Amino acid sequence: MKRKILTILILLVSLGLISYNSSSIDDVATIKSNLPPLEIYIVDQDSMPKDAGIPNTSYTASILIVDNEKKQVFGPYKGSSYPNSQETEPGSDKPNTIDTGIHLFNNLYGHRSGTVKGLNLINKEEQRETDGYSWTHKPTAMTYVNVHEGYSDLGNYNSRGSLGCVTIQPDQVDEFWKHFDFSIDGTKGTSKGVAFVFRETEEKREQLIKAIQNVY
Amino acid sequence: MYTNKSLLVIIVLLSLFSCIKAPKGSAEAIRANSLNDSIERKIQLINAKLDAIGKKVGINLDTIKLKETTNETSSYLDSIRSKMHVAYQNAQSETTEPTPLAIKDTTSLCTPCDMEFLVYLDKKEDYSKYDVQVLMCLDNNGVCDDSAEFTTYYNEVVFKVFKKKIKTMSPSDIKEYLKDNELNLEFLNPVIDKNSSSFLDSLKARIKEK
Repeated sequence: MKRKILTILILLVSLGLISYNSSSIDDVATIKSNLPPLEIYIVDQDSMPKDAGIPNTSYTASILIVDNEKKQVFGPYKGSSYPNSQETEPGSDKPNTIDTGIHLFNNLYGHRSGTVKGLNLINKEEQRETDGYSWTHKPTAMTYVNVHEGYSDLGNYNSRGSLGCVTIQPDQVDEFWKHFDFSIDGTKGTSKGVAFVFRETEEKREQLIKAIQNVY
Repeated sequence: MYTNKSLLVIIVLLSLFSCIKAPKGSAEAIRANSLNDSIERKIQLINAKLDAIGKKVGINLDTIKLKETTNETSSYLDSIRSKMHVAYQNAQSETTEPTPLAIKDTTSLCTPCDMEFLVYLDKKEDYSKYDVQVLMCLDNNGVCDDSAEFTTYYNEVVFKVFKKKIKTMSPSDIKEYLKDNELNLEFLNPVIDKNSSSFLDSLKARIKEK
């Protein structure tokens, strides 16, 4: 009797697994042709860095790259989704900060008018506009937001050298750029994809990083 | 042949296996969400059963809970990835001509948000008075304030220009300059990283020396 129950149980579970797995295989097959070549995940802390002058504290985000063509995950690289942490001028309501969530990107323009390497955040019409918020947290349409090398990692309010752009820790930026095409003038190229900005608690960040690393 | 306890352990292991096999990448957002919902419901049911079984046979359920959290995060990431893929696809179909870098006004050298002029100054070793005037004029109407690239680059160039320019200035010019720009130097420059105050101090010292 017990053996019969066991056999039935095994059969039921196996059937469930087969049907479940075949549906997820269908899903993956459906989306494969639509995948963006690159996905960038910026997993940052949920508040602006304190920037108390302590070296190696300027970059609080772990940035991972999912390369859907190579089917590999790279990183994490140190970076930040936050700009400098002092109001640009008293009352200016700047710098702006990009929103969490989805941001499309390419690297057709580079940074500093194409004189240095950079990625460019774009909207769905490929215009260089991105959703963000001002110093006083008012929703703002930001323009010309890039991903570029940070200035230093000294932990000061202006170490990231950003008035709204995403920055990469200077020591890791060369490794980071290796995943993108810079065939136009060495500073621009034809890379494109989707970035996602998370701002989460430490526990959630750790879980997310593990989950992203397991994509491939 | 099988005891009740061993039967329960086998059920637990089989159920666990079905929990752990989460989908990697899912299709369109709607399909993925409904799939995730049904998985979550299954997981909840299985976990409720596991809790009951665990209490009976004294199995430590900490490992199961850890896997449940990991599974939830994976499902969350899957739904985000689906949305990213949809956003990417929509963008592909709506692509239009990209906007030019800056709106050029050929009748004047002072074009708001003109990054090409910044590049021109950035490459120069020496600056004319006119260069400085144009530089100051580029960002005086606030239209460039939301351009992250322009404002960052602008401040880098302003600091660089004045750092070089100041060497050739007379103390009275420096005094005049500081009167107008001290705040700018102190608050505007995003790239000097703590050196702004020491730069200001050195300028002030130069005025006192003379």
